[in-house]
Amino acid sequence: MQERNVVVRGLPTGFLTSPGEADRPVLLFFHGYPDTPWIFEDQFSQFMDHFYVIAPFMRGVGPSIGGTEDNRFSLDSIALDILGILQRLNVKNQPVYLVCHDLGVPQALHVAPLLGGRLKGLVVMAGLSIGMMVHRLRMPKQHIKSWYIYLMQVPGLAEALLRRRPKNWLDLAYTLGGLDRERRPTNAGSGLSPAFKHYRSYVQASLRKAIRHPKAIDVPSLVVWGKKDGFLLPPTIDELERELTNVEVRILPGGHWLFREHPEEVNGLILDFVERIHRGLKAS
Amino acid sequence: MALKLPRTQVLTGLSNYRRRQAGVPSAEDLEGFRISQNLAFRGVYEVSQLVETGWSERRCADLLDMWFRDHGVTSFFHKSFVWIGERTRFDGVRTPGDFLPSSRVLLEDEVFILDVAPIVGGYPSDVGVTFVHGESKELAMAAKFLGILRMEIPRLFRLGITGQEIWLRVHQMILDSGFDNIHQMYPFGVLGHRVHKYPEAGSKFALLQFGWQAAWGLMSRGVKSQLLNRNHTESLDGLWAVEPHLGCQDFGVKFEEFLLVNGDEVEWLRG
Repeated sequence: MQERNVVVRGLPTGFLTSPGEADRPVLLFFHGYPDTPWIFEDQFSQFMDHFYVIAPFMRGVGPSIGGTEDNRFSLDSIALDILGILQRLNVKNQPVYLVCHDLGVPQALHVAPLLGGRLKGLVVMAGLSIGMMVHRLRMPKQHIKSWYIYLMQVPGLAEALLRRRPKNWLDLAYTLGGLDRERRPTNAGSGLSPAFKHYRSYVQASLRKAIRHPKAIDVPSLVVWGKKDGFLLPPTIDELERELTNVEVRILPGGHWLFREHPEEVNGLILDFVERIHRGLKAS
Repeated sequence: MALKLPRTQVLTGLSNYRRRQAGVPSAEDLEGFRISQNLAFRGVYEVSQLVETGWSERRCADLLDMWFRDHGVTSFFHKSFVWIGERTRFDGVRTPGDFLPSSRVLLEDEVFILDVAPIVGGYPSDVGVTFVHGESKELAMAAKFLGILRMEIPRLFRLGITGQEIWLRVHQMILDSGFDNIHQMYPFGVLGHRVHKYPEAGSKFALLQFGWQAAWGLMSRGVKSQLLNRNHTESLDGLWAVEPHLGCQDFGVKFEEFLLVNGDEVEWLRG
């Protein structure tokens, strides 16, 4: 994978891509926090020969400078970033599959309807759409698991806590997520700082966006979840079908970073899912 | 006497303010309007390149507004309007609320209109452009006629006729060319409206997409002088956002941009 940088609406924006041109189906990865796109390195090595892989550094992470305005962390602004990257890479008519994790899920689901007919499939890993988040407001167990989201809503508090021993907070995140020390990313997590703005934007957008854009996504979707996810309760079919009308679900033993804990198993699921869609496209 | 003096001063001040506001903007202000309009056109063209089939008017309008916010805009003369397909000719539009971005989704080869009005450094712009992805002979014909109107409108202003007569002549040209006049369906049936410099504060207050600045512009200066419609008989000097909008069989087509009027000197701000 190669790291590239472009300027999108005035801000430097980085992303990883396969070498060469976007002349094959595209796999577009959305990382969560406190990660960078390198969190998907086991997926890149598996898929980059057959797909054109694109994995942006989300706003505020690595080379994607956050800027001074908080609105650059909003879902609409992130969607414009992603569309800008696809435009620069000349991704026009190629089939596009989205693979998203954690807070990358609401971001990917916000981008999905904007891809028009290019979007062929969606892989959701351990993350909640805005609509699902709103639905879970009624679930006390989810509130307990989401304590850190509430902490981040208080401007200044989370930053003040983070200033003391940031490494410990990062370790805590991966420990709660059930990721063994040897599987944790070595090539620099994004740190927790950009996550605060993304989580604030996520919560602020929750009600507004769910009301304004309630339409469900009907492309085939695969949901992969760890049974022992420390941050999110496993989803129910009812909950998922409100947002993803054509969904299949795989709940496996493991934690929040299942695709890192069990890369071969998760890669196999993704590959099988994408190939089935692709065969269907060719047949039609 | 003690009470009368300040009152006179206030009235004189207000009168001067109105005269100043109704007239031609200074060179410095014109530059501000030009910068604002350039950004508006940039936003419209950049976002139009991203628009895909399946986008709703609402999503498109949200992304347009965000594009401007990402470029430092904090306030809007009006938030973005987007109309798709038959709604570009206002079919089914009956109440002011029907003008707002809806859940209508763009289909293959459909026409859409983006109409934006960010305020940049206190200077509002108001820009509208019609697009289609692909080719449409009917749209090409309508666009050609809009091009003729764009040349004709400054000439009409130079004739020294009233705004009312300009409105009626444009109306007749549209009908004679086999199109419908759609701008007569706008609130107050406007072919255009004046623009002024405004404070940027208070962007969260909007009524039917319009910022408080738009309402203040009308209320403080008088509706009649501010709107170029079939009732306008006052001076035409000043800066106008002109927006002829015509209807074809299945869709509407418009443009909107600034026209500077200074006596006999009339020119599009964009050149």
